[in-house]
Amino acid sequence: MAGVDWEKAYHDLENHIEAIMKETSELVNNASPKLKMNEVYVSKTNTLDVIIDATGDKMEYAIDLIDRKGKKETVKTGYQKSNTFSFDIPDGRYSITAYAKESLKENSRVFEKISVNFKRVLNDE
Amino acid sequence: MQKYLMICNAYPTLENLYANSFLHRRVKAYQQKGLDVDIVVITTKVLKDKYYDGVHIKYMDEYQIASFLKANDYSTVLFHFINKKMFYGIDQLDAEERPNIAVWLHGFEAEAWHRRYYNFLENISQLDNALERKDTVFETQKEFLQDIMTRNDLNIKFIYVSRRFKELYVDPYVGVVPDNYHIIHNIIDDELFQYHKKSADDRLKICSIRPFTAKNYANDITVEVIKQLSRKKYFHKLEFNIYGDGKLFNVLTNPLKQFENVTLHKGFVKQNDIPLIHKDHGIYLGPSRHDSQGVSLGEAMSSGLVPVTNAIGGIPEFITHKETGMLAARDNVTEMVEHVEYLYKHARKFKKISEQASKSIKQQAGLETVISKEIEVITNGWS
Repeated sequence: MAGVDWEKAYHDLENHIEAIMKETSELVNNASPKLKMNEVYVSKTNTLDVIIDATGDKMEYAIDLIDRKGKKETVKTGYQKSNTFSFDIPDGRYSITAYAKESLKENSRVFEKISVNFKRVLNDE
Repeated sequence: MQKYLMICNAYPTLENLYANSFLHRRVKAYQQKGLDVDIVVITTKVLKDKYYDGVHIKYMDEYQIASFLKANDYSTVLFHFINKKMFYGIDQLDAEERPNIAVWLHGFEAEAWHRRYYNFLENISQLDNALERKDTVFETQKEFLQDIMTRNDLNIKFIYVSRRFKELYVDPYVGVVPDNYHIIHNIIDDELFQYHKKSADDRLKICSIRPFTAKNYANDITVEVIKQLSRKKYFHKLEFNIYGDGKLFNVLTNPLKQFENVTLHKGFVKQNDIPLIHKDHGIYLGPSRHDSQGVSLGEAMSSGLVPVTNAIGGIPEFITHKETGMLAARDNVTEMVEHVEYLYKHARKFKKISEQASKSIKQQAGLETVISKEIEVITNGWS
């Protein structure tokens, strides 16, 4: 059985390496960031404030706020461009599902669930 | 009389005239030479038999092919664009019942996953998809080819469309070389692409007929070449006609709209219309990043056009620089511009290259040359 001329094949492939690297460089430089959820920040003041930190391209954000005791109806904010939410709600235990998606891509969505024990912090003004 | 069976992935029909039309060209030529050839197209759909231009086409899945081979006594089976499923029927036969096997290797079915990297580095999901296919498609195909190239229980021959395609693309992918192989080029139909003597003025008329579906067709280079030529004093004397269709046509050719001497013809060009276009031009601007042979270049050469292209893949096996065409290095726009300029400045040389190109390609890959070689391989030399 005759053999493969590996040397000839290598030199041909080597001719491509610069072009492969240039194409890859273009791809990396033009690539949009990959969608991911970084952190959901909660601050408790007079209101329950939530900030969604996520990475992606042309982002939209939403929150589902669920009263753990079921006294208050679940709040579904729907998607918005701002990543900051403020809820004027009674004290209690809540579950928060924070969503982030890329508006131009279908079926792109990441989410994170957290629990919050909310108690209003009243300002002494 | 011995019977032959061709198993392939697609065959032209009245509804789809251009699916592997080069296979039909072969089958008609085989028939003219007295060979009795049946056609089976592998499919997962249930399809009725079809008839096209005197050829009976059957559609079968791998299990139907296995039954069909058991029920019929074919002396030789001819495979085009082979894969494991197509070969399943052969493996179901007892060793002594197996027919002779001829496998044509054309291109994508025998190349490494990374060969056309420029076609999947456009975005991350394409790259991810290619990496997945590397394991799920390319590895399986490689193991299959290794298997049939090294087995002792098969009477099998391999036909590569060019030596460079074999040595640069197929051998390093598969990792083994079969004992029994032949280099037979794809047909350049010199009956359809007849030579028409070119005048000196014809070198001013430049055409390109290429799909605009992927980057391997290098239409971006054609555009860059024309843009660089536009800075030359003689540019206004040149006339360009760009033919083709595909998702990249508008985006790539947009910069050419500013030039009065560049005409864009967006649309699929029928095979029978190409000789008419060839007749009106002297230079075929056909850069390429990947070609196992370069059939469209060969067709242009047959008609008497001087090809300006790249020394990549199988192309240098068919074009000798400044003798039968002009070759630039991979992706080298400046060299291609210099080559067009050379032809512009050397009218007599242009005419000579034109004549030599046609003669050379006819001798190398003309209908009669290719069919004689194929019939010899199909009908003789089986152990």
